[in-house]
Amino acid sequence: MFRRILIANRGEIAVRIIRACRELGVTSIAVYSQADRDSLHTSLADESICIGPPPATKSYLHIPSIIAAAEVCDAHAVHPGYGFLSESAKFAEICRECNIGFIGPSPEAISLSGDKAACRATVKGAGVPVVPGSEGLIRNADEAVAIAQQIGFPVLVKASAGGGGKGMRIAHNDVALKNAVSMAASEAEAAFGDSGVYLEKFVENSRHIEFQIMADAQGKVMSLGERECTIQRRHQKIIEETPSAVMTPELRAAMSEAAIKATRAMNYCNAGTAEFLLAPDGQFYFIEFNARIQVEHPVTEEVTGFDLVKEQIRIASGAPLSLPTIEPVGAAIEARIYSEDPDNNFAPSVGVVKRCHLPGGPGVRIDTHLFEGYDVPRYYDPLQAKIIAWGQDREEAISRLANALDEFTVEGIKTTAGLCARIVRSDRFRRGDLSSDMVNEFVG
Amino acid sequence: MDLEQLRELIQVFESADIAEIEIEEEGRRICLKKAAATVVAPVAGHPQVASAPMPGYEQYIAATAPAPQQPAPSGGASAETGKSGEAEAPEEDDGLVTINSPIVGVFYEAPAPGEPPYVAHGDEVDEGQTICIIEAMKLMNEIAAEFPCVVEQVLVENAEPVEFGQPLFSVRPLNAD
Repeated sequence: MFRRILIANRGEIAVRIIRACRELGVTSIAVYSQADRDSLHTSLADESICIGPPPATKSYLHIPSIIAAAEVCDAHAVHPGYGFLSESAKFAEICRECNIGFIGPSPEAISLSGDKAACRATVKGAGVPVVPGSEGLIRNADEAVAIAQQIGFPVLVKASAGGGGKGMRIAHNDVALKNAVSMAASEAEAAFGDSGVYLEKFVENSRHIEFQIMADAQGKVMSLGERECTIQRRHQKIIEETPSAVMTPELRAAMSEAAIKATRAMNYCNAGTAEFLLAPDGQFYFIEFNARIQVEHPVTEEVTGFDLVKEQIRIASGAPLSLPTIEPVGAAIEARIYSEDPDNNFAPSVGVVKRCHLPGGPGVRIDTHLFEGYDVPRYYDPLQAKIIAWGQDREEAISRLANALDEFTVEGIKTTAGLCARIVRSDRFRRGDLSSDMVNEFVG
Repeated sequence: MDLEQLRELIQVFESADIAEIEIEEEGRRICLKKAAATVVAPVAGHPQVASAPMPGYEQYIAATAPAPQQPAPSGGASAETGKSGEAEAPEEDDGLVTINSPIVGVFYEAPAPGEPPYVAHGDEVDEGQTICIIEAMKLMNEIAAEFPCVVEQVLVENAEPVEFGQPLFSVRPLNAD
């Protein structure tokens, strides 16, 4: 087991990892930028070191500074969290060369998951259904049109190096498709320095369902069930839950098997997530693989009772999976609280937190780095807190989450807590009738 | 050439009686220069030390200096931090300012073990003159003074780990008035 772990991240996930380290008896080392000198992760960790100025490119994303900090602090391993360097194959590679453990998958697996066209081909080759579309990258607009006519419109043009909705375009006919191909390619070139795009059939009214995977270095792969992440805004998830309201035991077994096959095909180790689209007719399609611990991992933890971050650390140190086979119990729902103003087109909101009351009670968990007096910096991700409610059933979980969101009080910054409360209280959400764009109904 | 070989090369170079060596291999150029002679054009106040750590070995010696906020050390980006931590110990008295570490790493006062320190109390330092080494990712980054000054105090011990922004020297600028 590693005895000293450097956490190459900030915010709530850094706090989450520090807590896991503490339970394992591992010394936690926080890195921080000048803007985070008074942040919670900096003060909570056993040790901390300043790695650079506020902009992330010069601190949390600056590989030489992170590696130097790990060496100076004699860290045995680095936990990258999510975002920042978590899916940088280059960073994982450099850790390996410097003999620093990387708590995550291999650089090769990260590369493969980041190259979406190649990942799709690999997973398809293992017998997992993927959305009908192009074999690999599209060479030109005419080829795209030919494929689209074969699989049927509408189609989605996606950047192979993409993420966060960038380099993605939907097209309903030939003319729009030709335009979409060039637009997506130039957007992808600008955003990722890689203009490669591929084509997928656009599955209408689909739901976004992902499966949590844990895999050890000995070759054991486990599926820990699904999370429904359909409710999004600008491709950013807002509310996640498990089990999905539309899941059946048969479908779960089939999708779990597909997720495990995908994981094996990628030769993947550690925590990861296989993302699927579920069409209204019950057909499911693999879309991509997330090579990291995810923001929404707590909902899986709440129904399984497992600590995924501790398990990540154990697996990365070479230990075999220690999780028993347990049937998930009850239902869990997570609401993400962003420091954004829903009444002002989700403008970012920064400032000093003047009052901070965090709810509690049975089945309520809060992962956050907020505290009274905290000065929310303007440089980083707006995610400030995650409220996760567990209940014996979905109804109880909804009730607890809605009440917790009402109770959640933070003054000094605007948040999306009220918006989340309106969504989970709605008849539509209670019915489980979800769609990606439903957030718009609750704004303003 | 991997990191291990590069480290060996640096060690051999340091103990050898030569001022400069240049090696070209598989399209990568590695240039080592002994301290006294070295001035690599300082890039406006920002360490370019190892921004491309794997392929960019030729950059490994970079003269860097803390961001150009010596007379008002909490200016620029660091104004955002609000608190003045130990990294910003500004003008104490008599016009003294600090030179802060531009990177995380290990501080070395001399070019090699057993050799005299680059600078000591009372030394007059020219702009661009090397004042110490910060080792980061096994690379020796020479830190140069960004303005002429007199060294009042060395604030860290040799071979001590330093963090970003940590004061290394207390100095009196020569052109401050």
